Amino acid sequence: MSHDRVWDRGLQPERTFLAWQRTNLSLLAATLVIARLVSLHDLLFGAVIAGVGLLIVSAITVRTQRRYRRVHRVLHAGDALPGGRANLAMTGMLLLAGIGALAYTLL
Amino acid sequence: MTDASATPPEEEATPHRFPKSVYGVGSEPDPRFSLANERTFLAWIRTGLGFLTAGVGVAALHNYLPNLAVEAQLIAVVLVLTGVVVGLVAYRRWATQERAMRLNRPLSGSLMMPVYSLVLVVVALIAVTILIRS
Repeated sequence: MSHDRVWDRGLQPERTFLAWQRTNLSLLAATLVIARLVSLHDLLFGAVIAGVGLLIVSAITVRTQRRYRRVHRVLHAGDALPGGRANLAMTGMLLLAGIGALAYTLL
Repeated sequence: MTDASATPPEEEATPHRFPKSVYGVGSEPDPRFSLANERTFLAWIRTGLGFLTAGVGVAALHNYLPNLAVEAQLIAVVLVLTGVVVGLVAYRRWATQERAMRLNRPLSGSLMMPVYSLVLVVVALIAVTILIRS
């Protein structure tokens, strides 16, 4: 690994934060597409999917903001970065969307 | 906006980070590499979500192509399953790469990338064929 001085740590947390936000938006888009198509067959169910999706993505967005602040703090303090729970949660959300997509496709 | 010092206890930096298989070994790598690994994982997740959305879009098409409903369903299922696989492999890859960095071992290439590209190309070819024929 490089022993040079870090050139600009200030950008990495921001880029990671933006990557999380892009992923949140992709998750929201996928959820809304499924909700819209479901609503053509069952309006209430589609609305529920959209509503739940919005709530979950909003919650993730808040946690993404806190994660960014935490990363910024620990980088300056020399502490350790956060762990992989958020990564596992995001994978779980994708799985959930996949189940929903499969259900729509097969039913 | 809450003050940064008001972080709930479970989010404070601890030596007991999840998962243990990753953080229980080796030493802390350069944070730039960890952050880059995280961004790569998120990019894979977005790719998986893209496959999901494409699959759902194809599934919706079968309403407009009644004589190709079964084919559309099949392609849709393949796309959605690929998306799910992308997501699962993405998490495992993130953990594997983080662990390799902690142990100062070389990073591995992904064997799955050609597979995803192949799925995309095959689906695109089928779609073009169907469009030309109908």
